[in-house]
Amino acid sequence: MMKKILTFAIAFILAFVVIAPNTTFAVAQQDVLRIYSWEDYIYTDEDTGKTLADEFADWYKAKTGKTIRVEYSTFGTNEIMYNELKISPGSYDLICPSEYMIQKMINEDMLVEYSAEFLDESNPENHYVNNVSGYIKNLFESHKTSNGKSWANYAAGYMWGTMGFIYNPQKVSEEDIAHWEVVWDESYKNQSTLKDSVRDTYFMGLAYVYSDELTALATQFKNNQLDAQEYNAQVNAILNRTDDDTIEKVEQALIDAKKNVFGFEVDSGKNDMITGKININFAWSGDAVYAIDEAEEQEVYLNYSVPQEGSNIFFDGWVMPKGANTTLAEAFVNYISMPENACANMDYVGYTSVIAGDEVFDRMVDYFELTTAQDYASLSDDEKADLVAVDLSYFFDDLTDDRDATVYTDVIGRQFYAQYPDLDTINRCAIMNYFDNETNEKISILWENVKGTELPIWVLVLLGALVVVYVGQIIAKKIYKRNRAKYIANTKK
Amino acid sequence: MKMHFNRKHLVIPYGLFLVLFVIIPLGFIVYYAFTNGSTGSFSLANFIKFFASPTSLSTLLLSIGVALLTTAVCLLIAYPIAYILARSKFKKKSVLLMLFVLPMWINFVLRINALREFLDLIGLLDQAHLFNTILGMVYDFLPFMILPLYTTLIKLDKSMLEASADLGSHPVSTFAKVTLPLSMPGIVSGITMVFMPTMTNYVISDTLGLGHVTIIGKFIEECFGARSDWHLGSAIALVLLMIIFVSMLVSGGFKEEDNGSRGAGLW
Repeated sequence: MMKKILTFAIAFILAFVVIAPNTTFAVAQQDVLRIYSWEDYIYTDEDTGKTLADEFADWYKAKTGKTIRVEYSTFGTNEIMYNELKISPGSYDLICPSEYMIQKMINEDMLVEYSAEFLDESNPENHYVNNVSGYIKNLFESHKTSNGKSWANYAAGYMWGTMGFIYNPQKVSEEDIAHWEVVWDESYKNQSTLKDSVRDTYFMGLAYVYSDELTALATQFKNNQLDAQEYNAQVNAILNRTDDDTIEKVEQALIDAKKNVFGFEVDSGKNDMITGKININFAWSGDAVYAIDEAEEQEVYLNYSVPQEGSNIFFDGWVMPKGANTTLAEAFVNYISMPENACANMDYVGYTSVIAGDEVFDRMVDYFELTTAQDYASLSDDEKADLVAVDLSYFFDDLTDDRDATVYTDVIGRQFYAQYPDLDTINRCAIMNYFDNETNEKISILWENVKGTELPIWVLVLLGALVVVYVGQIIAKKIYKRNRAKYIANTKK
Repeated sequence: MKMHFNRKHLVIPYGLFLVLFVIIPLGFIVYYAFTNGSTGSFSLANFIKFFASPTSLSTLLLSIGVALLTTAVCLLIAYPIAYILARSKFKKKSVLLMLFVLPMWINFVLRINALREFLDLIGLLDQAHLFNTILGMVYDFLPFMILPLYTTLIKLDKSMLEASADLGSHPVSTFAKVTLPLSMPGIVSGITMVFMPTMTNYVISDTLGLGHVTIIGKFIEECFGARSDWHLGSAIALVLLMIIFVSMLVSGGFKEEDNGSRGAGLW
């Protein structure tokens, strides 16, 4: 009998093992693009539920006549994505990790380079290289890899942004929110949040610990003792410190901060800002856009600010892991980089697309009701007095007909600022590099100590009491047995 | 080949489930727990790392404390209710029982977030992180304590109680010497259903403790997430498994002497 059951079981498992890979194999024969990206990170038609990834199949068919299938899956954190790729390499064609994870994957030789055809700017069909902002392009090209290439060879940008504070201007003064110290400020006790994510909160700790140094640099830059490039390089160096002394200082700073903040969050902060549980939320700029929009609908007005000492600039980019179908992956990156698709994504997601150019510029002017330089010239002096100039030439460096990329607005520190930070903000923002294994371990221990809860005395009392009761019961039972044995022995006599 | 259906074949679906989702994963956990992250060779480094860190240990103790208190509070609330419910002559008992179990049918994330708003309303949310966490745990796990207690108590042989009364026992001593020992299996099963999940349900501690309360489940999650140290995470999971195993041995030891074979069938 046992044998039969075993045969059954083995046959069943074998059926799984044999059939499953066969089906995937059959599918692989038909062209399929397997994309792995963040949740809610692509335009989705609210009526049909179709994403731009679905639309891509139609577009590709119209363009090449080939029928393809797109599989779009999502992840919640870079680490989940990385772990999954480590376990089953070759299961995706195109992935959208953050900058530090891209660095890590390049270093571990997990990625395929973009082809020369993809990077060829003379082909107008190459939407990515032709439309990407010069700012992002420079950023990618200036970060060299150990094999003499640069990030630009391995990654195509998708979205980018800054980190800063969403705050309620009625409860928090503009002077206070301009500095990281606000999180440690006891007059804002229980009003701010930390991110429940090691890297972001470590970064905040760094900026706080070295705020004097950063402020001194900012002053030097303001007095023209430093040029923008040198200033930014020094900010980058400070905000990437991971020596033991720094880690110790940051740990202490974060333990202090923990006593002053409302709590740690990754998602609930936006809602808690709207309901007024907190007044300061350390957040990504894209979340800020979303939170400010949502709050507005409930007539709560929130602002976004990037501290004066400097902050973090991040981006997510498309990379192709080893074994990817590069033809389809590159075609998709070009498709998603077409200006109209970039605009649709931005409207839907809230983060800022890396794509620049006239169409994206015009969308921005429309969306945020900005005044262009051209219109500004024809305004009266009174009207001009209300407006503030925002120079975006660093980002929109490719406008046609020499259009001026400076825009004018009377709304400061809100959605527009979160989506398109001005040049001053960009100059003081740093990219945070990935931690190598050794550093990662040290910072994990820091995090463990920061997040750890002090053991309350009642826990020890409770555990002590439990042991006493248990031991007491054993002893009581022994005594009872002995007495009983004696009693029985006595009665027998 | 002619297949003869046999009652034993019915075990196949669960047998497969057991192998695929219990035994094989457990094998993985043991493998990861006892290997070194960089070389893949056998090592106890993960356990040493865990037990050598004061923060990890205090997290473990805190989780045990929170779980003990939650279990105790659940038991104190659930026992009288289950007792009254089981003994009552009310005809629509099942309706009452349903009311107690009803919360289980509503998504727990929703309930915990509602509790969060309520705590904010009464001004407790950012004041008492540990209290809120335990309150949330009790709120969430109470039905898991009521149900096994109720099913044990309702099956309790009434003639035993009558015999006890006939022999002149005071109701209090009848309860202590008859009802309580006979309901031991329900108590033990209630405790196991509440204690272990409480140690690891970090959604509640994150939502109501606002990240100020870190329990061991959160720590394991960090190991598998941002820390990317599956070996340490597996080692901690194994430590938890050992703790529950030991506590089961301990409580099982009680039972054999007190109730004979009655409770042993539960394991």
